This record gives sequence, C-alpha cells and structure tokens, in this order.
Amino acid sequence: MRLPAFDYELPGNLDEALELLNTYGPNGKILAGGTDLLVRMKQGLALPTHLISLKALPELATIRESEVGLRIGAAVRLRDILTYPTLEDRVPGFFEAVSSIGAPSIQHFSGTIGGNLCQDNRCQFYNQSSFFRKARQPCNKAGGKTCYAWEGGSDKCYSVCQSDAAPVLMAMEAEVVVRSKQGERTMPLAELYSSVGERPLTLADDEMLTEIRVPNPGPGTGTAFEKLTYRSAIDYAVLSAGALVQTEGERITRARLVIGAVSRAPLGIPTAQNILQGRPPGDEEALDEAARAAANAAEAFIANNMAQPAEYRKQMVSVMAKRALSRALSRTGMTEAT
Amino acid sequence: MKRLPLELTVNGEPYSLSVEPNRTLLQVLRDDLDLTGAKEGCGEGVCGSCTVLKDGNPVRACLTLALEAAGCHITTVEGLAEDGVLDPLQQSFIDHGAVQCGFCTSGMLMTAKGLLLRDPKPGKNEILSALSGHVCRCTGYAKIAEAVEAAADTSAKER
Ligand SMILES: Cc1cc2nc3c(=O)[nH]c(=O)nc-3n(C[C@H](O)[C@H](O)[C@H](O)COP(=O)(O)OP(=O)(O)OC[C@H]3O[C@@H](n4cnc5c(N)ncnc54)[C@H](O)[C@@H]3O)c2cc1C
Ligand code: FES
Ligand code: FES
Repeated sequence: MRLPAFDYELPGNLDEALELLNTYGPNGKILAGGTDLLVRMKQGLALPTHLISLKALPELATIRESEVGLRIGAAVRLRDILTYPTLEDRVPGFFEAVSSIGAPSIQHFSGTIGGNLCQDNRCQFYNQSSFFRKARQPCNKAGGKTCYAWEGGSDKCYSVCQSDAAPVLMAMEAEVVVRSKQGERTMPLAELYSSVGERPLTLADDEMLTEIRVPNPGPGTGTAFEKLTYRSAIDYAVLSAGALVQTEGERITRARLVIGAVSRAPLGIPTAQNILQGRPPGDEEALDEAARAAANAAEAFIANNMAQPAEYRKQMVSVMAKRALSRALSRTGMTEAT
Repeated sequence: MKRLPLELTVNGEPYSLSVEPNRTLLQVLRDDLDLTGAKEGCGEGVCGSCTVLKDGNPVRACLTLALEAAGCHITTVEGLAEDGVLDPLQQSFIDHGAVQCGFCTSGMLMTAKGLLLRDPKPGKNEILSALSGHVCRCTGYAKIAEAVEAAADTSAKER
C-alpha cells in the first residue's frame, strides 16, 4: 500500500517544530512513531501536505522525575516507559495499560506515549480503505452527513477513543503540557479530549503535546487497567477500564474510574467516588454498585462502531469496571509511602 | 514532493540514497535495494511479515518512513546468515518445521532475533509475548515458538 505525497520536515529543536506547526496549520501533522498516522494516510483518511518528524527532538524523548511524580516527554517510546526502573511497582495500572497496546513488535519500539494519547478516534465504518468507503456516502467524520454506527443515522459521530493509556492516566489525574509558538499551557489530561468524534482533541492546529505529568499515587493507593479483547495482542480494546483507589485506615477515601473505548472520549465515572467513599475495602456490594453506575453511564454511548456486538459491550462494562476497581483496591497496600 | 538524501546501513553495508518522503522503509528495501526478504502482507501494521530490525529492535517496515531510518542500522532476514552459515535461529526454524509457506517467516525470525539480542535466554512466556503480533496462517505457531526456544537454548549454551 502506498502513501500519498507529502513533504518531510525534520526540525532539530522544539522551537523549530513549533514554528513549522504554526506555518502549516491544518496541513501539517506531527509524525511520532507513525503507527496510527501512517495507516490513516494509506487509507486516505488523513492527507497532510507536511509531516513534521519528532525524531530529532531528544528533549521530548526523556523521562524526568519531579517532586510530585513522573514527567514523561511526549515522544518517549512505549518500550522506554515499560523498562523505566520501578515504574511497574509505582504505577502498575499505567504499566498494564502501556503493555497492552497493540503488540511489542508493532508499537513498543516505535509508538510513543504522545502518539497514543493523540491518536484519532476509530469506527468500523470509517477506518477502512477508500475502496470500502466508496460503497456509500461519506459519514460525518469523513465530511458527510450521517453516522452508520448509530441505528437510523445521526448528526453526531459515534467514533471511539481507542487510547489504552488514557483511561488509567485520567483515573490518576495526569496532566498534559501543551505548547505552541505562542506559549505553553498545562491542563488535566481529561481536557485534551473534546468529546466530538470528528475532531476528538482540543488541541489547536499549531499546538502539540510536549509532556505528560503522572502524579505519584501516594501511600495507600492502587491503580489498575483492564482491557477486553478477543486476541491477547494486536487488537484494539473492545472496551477497557482504568481505576485508582485510595484507602485510609479501613475506609476507601478516593476512587477514580474511567471507562475506555466506549465513547468519543475516555468516559469518567464521577459517581464511583460518591458510591465508594467511606465504604470498607471488603464491601463487595459497593464495588458492584460502582460498576453498575459505570454501565449505566456508558450505555448511552455504545454504538455499532466495532465488529463486536454493542449489546455484548454494554454487558461487559460493569464486569471490566469491577475487575479494575478490585485490582486497584488489592494494590492499596502495595504502594509504599513515597 | 521534495526528494531527500538518506544515509543508512543495511545488513552492515552503508547506503547513500535519495528518496521521496512517502516511500516506506519496506519499499526502499524491496524495490531499491532488492532485499525482498521482508514481505508486504497487510501494509497496515497488522500482520508482521514486513518486520526488520532497526538498531536491533523490531519495527514494521510498512509503517516506517524510509527517511525515519536515517542514520540507523537496519537488519533484514538477508543479513542473518554469516559467510553462508545460517543463523542458529534460521537453522532451528528448519529443524523444527517452523516454515510452511514461508510468508511470515522473515518477520518471525527478525522479531525472534531482536528478542535474543536483548535477552539471550528468554523464557517461554517472553518468547510468546515477543512473537505476539505476528500472524502465521500455516504453522499454528507451536513449532515457531519451539524453534525459538531451542535456538535460545543453543546460543545460551555456546556462550
Ligand atoms: C495493528 C495495530 C494495532 C494497534 N493497537 C492499539 C491498541 O491496542 N491500543 C492503542 O491504544 N493503540 C493501538 N494502535 C494505535 C497506535 O499504534 C498506538 O496508539 C501508538 O501508541 C501510537 O503512537 P505513535 O507514536 O505511533 O503515533 P503517531 O501515529 O505518530 O501519531 C498519532 C496521532 O497523534 C498525533 N501526534 C503524535 N504525537 C503528538 C504530539 N506530541 N502532539 C500532538 N499530536 C501528536 C499525530 O499527528 C497523529 O495524528 C494500533 C495500531 C495498529 C497499526
Ligand atoms: S505488511 Fe507490515 S505489518 Fe503487515
Ligand atoms: S508459514 Fe505460511 S504464514 Fe507462516
């Protein structure tokens, strides 16, 4: 399969990269590992005139420690996250999420964390060859006026955010640093996502992600990620769940639950906090309640956008949510005070 | 589309090329350098038959721009044998019947080679997890995993 034509830019420092983004605007695209972007370009879904490579920007490819946690450069390869000393013990949920992305020989040595968080939303009717898509009118995301994933059509796009790193990072309240030629802003990761299927990120055309800030979970806190797939490798999530639970004494004090791959953006379940707060860690019923709340919230978004039946996915939300919460809970004793 | 200069090393040989930006590493290897060992199965990262080593680690050549390999050492299946003697991995694939149609084989070999370079004595689980992401329509995978395991044993013994 051939790639459409484009020009290749290799900025030697971040300012040059930001200048290029500013110059090319919507026609310039960042090339990190390329494992999401190049597939879409081959399928004719993205046709940038300029690719701006991050290859020569070592400042984006390093992991640093700060007082409050890890500062991971946007162009850090997944493999470098997986082999970072102590990361698996400190933030096992994040480690699980990154290991689950695709397969080692596809992403781990090429794919980056920034590319994972910024990948485009997906749908079985959209992520197809142009030959496949030509059989019908374009959908909302392809510039048309309907959605094939929603029964009866819709003026909204029901594509799904497939980033496996996002749910657990959101549960951990990670932040992202965004830069443009004009300046820098830091925001919660949740605000990177627009909930608009056609344009799932809130980044302006001249902005890029430069850093992901992953806070230390702190004492008594556990994290976990659960991913449902048909095969144990290669597959995108059918749905997923990221969780963070904190306990103090014999009570749950903090519970964050985020469901992935069901909606246009990772779906935070704020009611999990209300349900679980103050309950004892052994309270099975409390976990069931939180998991049911997740299923209720997710149901409205689950469309026929994957090969797997929507009904099955709806039924599996509570299962994955409970598994993630229980595992995070079982780890609350594991994390040592930092 | 501006052609750009590209310097890279393939199987130990340095090359100075001039390539169009939209050419993948796979196209350059196969069409320009006549190294047809890496295969194009899906062209979208799903099958693994195009896998080559970039500085010792497996990457999908179909999803790697040739220009992104500038300055790198690429190893393809053609670079495994030394002076006409097969790499222990290649010999083991033959001995274990791990090759049928052969379309997936070069990709499997390169990922397995990358694994043994990082970890000369991987366990069964490490082997399976490294090879996951490679599709074989013929062998049923068991013989491939056994071949890698046996090669790991021999090369570790030789050390
Ligand atoms: C077979 C296959 C299976 C896959 N399975 C999974 C999976 O299970 N889970 C999963 O999450 N993903 C999966 N992916 C998608 C993708 O490979 C991974 O998400 C990967 O981590 C993307 O990283 P990258 O560096 O290759 O991204 P790229 O393709 O380089 O970039 C992705 C997008 O983000 C933009 N971008 C990149 N970096 C930045 C930045 N710093 N700032 C702003 N924008 C940026 C790019 O312009 C592009 O639009 C799969 C892909 C394939 C081909
Ligand atoms: S041809 Fe590259 S993964 Fe299939
Ligand atoms: S031997 Fe035929 S695909 Fe693997």
